Amino acid sequence: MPLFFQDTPLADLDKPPLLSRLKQTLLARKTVLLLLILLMSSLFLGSTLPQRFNTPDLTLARWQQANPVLGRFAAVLGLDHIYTTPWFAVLLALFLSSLLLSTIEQSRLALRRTWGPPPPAQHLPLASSRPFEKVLAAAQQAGFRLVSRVDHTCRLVRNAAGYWGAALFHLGLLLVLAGVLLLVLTQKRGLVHLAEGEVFSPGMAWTSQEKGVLADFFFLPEAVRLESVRPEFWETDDLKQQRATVTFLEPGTESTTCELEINRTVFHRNIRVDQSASFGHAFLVILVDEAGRELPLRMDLEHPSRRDQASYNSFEFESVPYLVKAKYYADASHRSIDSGTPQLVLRLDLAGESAGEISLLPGQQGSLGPYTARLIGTARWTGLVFSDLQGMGLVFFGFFVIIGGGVLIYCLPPREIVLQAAGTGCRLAWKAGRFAAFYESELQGILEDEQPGPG
Amino acid sequence: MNNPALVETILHWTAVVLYVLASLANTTGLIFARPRAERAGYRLALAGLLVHSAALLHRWVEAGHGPYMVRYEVLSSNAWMALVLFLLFARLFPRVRPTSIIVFPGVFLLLAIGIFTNPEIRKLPPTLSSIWLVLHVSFYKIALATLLVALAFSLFFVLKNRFSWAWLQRLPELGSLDAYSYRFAGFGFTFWAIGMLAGSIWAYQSWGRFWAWDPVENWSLFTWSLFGLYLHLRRFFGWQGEKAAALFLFCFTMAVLSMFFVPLLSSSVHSEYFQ
Repeated sequence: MPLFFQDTPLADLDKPPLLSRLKQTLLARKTVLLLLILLMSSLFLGSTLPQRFNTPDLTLARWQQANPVLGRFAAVLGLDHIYTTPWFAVLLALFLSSLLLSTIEQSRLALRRTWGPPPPAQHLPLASSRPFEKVLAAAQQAGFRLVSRVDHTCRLVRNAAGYWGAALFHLGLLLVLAGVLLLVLTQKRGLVHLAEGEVFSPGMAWTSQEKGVLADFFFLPEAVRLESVRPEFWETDDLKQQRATVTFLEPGTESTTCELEINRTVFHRNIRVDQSASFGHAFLVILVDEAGRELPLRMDLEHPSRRDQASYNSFEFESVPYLVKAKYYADASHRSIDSGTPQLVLRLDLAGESAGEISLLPGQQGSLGPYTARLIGTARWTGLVFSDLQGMGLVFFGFFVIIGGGVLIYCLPPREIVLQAAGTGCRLAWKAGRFAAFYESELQGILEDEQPGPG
Repeated sequence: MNNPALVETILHWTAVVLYVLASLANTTGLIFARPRAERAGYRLALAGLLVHSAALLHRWVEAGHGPYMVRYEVLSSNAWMALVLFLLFARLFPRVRPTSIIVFPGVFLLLAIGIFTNPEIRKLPPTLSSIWLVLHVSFYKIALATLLVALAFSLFFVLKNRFSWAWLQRLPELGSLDAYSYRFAGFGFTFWAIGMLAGSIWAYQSWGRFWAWDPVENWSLFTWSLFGLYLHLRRFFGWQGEKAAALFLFCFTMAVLSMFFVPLLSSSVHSEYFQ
């Protein structure tokens, strides 16, 4: 015996045929299915094919050489930068449109369910010998609210707010997706590694840059100088905090100095500045060749993760025909994770053969292959992140709307009863928006002497 | 005892033993219709939960941060959350109780696997000092717990549909099993979404970017979309029964891969903690 009654479909508003067809297409279940599959395929490809933003140029070039056909295909379709391609933005836009229409439909449905009239009498499958008024009173006592009464038919709803859960959840997703789309189109984000005392001027090349499909090169409004870098460590050598002081050099006006640390954001002239977790030492080495020419080299190395462990990097310089391999300890005695005497070990490699090796402390010099190497100075460096992002507000707001939707869906499952007087007894239908099986006993409590009737 | 690691190990192993006993008693009770054994299973699970809570609290005090830094902490706290939520569900909705046959062993397996990973305490990096991180991991744990219940209902459906064992007949009817699985999957989908968004807000706060497209983020979004596909197929294409259960099993497998295996990839920012 079914307890439930069905909602009748919503009547569509009169619309021009083209708009109506577009709406139907975007709302079609198959369209939503297709969009989901396309989104998942994009994510799958983005995870399996190398992407420009997180793959070094050399690695990407090697991959393209190893996979010439796939490489060409990827280049044509932008599969090596999927998330910044126009087609991905179009996919997001279509998803957004579908979600928008779906949210509107669900809101209309929720509106009707919250305050709408009872359905036609033939939808009432249960009969009870209890008098209409008694059942009505029992339902109201059980928490059902009378929302409409047409002649002798009443509609009672419990947890009507729960009808808005799905609409709110979809609205939240819509807001988040709208924010993401705005970000994907307009974001400007640049990371720059600077050593203490170094100045980064507008128009200089970023260490790495991400920009939206519609965004131009990210120009800072003014030059910025890194004044100091101050890492702080736990006793276990793990990083506790990373701080830096920067100065914005505004021509003609007083400069502005800002203190940065991880998780403490600074805004300057609408540009967001974040402290990156990357830092280390920049080593300034002079190589003197056999002809007496001085070749200045700068090598930025990441800070080692432990006092007794080194960090490594390799460098290629136009002026030196060797590959320069560098090893860096935070402290020459290996007893401290942070000291004023970092140790640099250099090795020259040519075709895999070592041509010389030397260990240097600040101010020291010695022989390195055919050169004399002198470590003339060190300075701390760190990464600074500048960004100009529009749309995060929508993402944040959408987040709370989604939570609201989730709470309504799962904490306030709506139930409703349609009740109609029939002779000395009544006819009725009961329905739960969600988890019907959990609440079926609720109806039994209201209808103590209920017997299923015909139809 | 002055050795904090030893105290924690003893507490954790005691909890594992209690959970194993709870699983045995509960399974016996459900399969052989022995209500006393089932009740004993719940009492043992509660006792295990108390000891497990003490172990996590001890860890929290020793480490100076919540249990979300290394795999050892993550798996243990996932197990704890799964059991707490299950007991809450079982209290509110008694029809959920049979899923304990999957949830209890799932809990002790999560905890036991966690114990075999590196328990070294790691200090909290500055990027992880954020309330959004706590929300991010908490919502994922809630999602996992609800998906575990949905998994149990899906498995029950498949078993009951294919076999006529006596204990399966005491479970709710097939239609209800299918509906429960659907609903708990929806619950998991919702909390997965919230967890993912909390993570993106945390990333924005810490790195000035809301989404880095790293493997963990990508696979999490992929898994969430897959659950969206599952719900959509059920809601609008009338998928139900074994076909829906099979798709859910695939979704659940993807969820486990996304949560526990993808973070092991070194190219992810999440590998900083899940090592």
